[in-house]
Amino acid sequence: MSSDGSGLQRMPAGRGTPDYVPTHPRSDSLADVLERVLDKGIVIAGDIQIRLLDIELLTIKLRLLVASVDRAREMGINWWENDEYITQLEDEAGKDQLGDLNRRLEALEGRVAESPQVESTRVGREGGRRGQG
Amino acid sequence: MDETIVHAYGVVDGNEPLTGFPPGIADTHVWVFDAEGFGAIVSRLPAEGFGIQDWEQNASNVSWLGRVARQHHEVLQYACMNTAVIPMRLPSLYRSLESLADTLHAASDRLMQDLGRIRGKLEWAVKVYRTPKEERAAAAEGSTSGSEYLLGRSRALSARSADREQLRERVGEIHDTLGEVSVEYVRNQPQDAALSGRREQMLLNGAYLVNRVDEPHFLELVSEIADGSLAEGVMVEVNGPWPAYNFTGDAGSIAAEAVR
Repeated sequence: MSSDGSGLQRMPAGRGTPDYVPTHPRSDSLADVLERVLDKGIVIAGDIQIRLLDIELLTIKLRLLVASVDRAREMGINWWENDEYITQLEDEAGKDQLGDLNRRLEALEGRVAESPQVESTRVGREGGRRGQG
Repeated sequence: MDETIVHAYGVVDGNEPLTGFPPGIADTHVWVFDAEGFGAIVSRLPAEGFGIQDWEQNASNVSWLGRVARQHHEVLQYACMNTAVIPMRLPSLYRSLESLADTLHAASDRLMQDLGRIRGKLEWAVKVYRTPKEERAAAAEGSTSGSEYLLGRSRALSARSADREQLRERVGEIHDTLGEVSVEYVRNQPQDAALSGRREQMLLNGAYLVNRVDEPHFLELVSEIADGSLAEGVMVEVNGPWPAYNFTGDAGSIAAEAVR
């Protein structure tokens, strides 16, 4: 998060430029690099033809999506659209899930209250909750 | 001698005396090959490990692909800081330097045009994320039980959904404002969370081709936008300069029938 109260994400500084501007894209922004080198740039058909992107989309099994979202949709790959982690902040469905979670949590809390020997479990859960927020 | 495959990273002007590249893919030596009036940035990859079947097998292997992509990129990054370069999409493989030269020759008009178009300009990336501010506040303040926490979070979500349309408009304005200082600009599909690795929703994934002399102005604008952005519920991230990946793509793609 930014430290100056503005919404600008600060990046490593360099070469006397303002400190929010890197003079070189951070080499650890793998997503940015992959997005560019696999999906952008000029395509000159060589004598060895590999359409890496297409092949990859046919075989992708990983959670990390190494392609532009557009292309993936064209190929009918859209698992993230139904992924709770990604959509829960967006959809009406997210609220239902929250309601459901809420009910389950209350039930669990009831049980925890009845059994002092699992107190540590409760502490663990609350710790995790704060970390998430 | 072990068999090799030629990998081309990008194209620069002919007679470009560029040296001192970082290591290429598989830590190979990178140099500029003088090809039909153009300079092709190339290295020789071992055929064993980088043949067609290796690329196919590793197509969804993120650690393999990630390493290769980075090395491809680092070579282009070095080049773009020194001269105009047309990045080639990964992978770009040739059986020999001669066949690469033939290919470039067949495409020379296009390449010349593209080099002229991007000369003196580089790409900047600006991303805008939605700040999950209310959500954090709700979670931190006075949630003594799990249900209170979830209730607060649910309220925050409703409020944000009402703001959604307003945010969308604002993001469009930001994109166009930055576009005014750019030669060309493009709005890419936002990266999904799995790819960006961030929990915040990405609202804008913009790329801007900016004249190097206009960079201070461009960055000043980004900074101004960012100053007011937290109040608007968004967060701005800028990085660059990049090789002009986004501005040498489809328009500059060369049909397969050009060669053999």
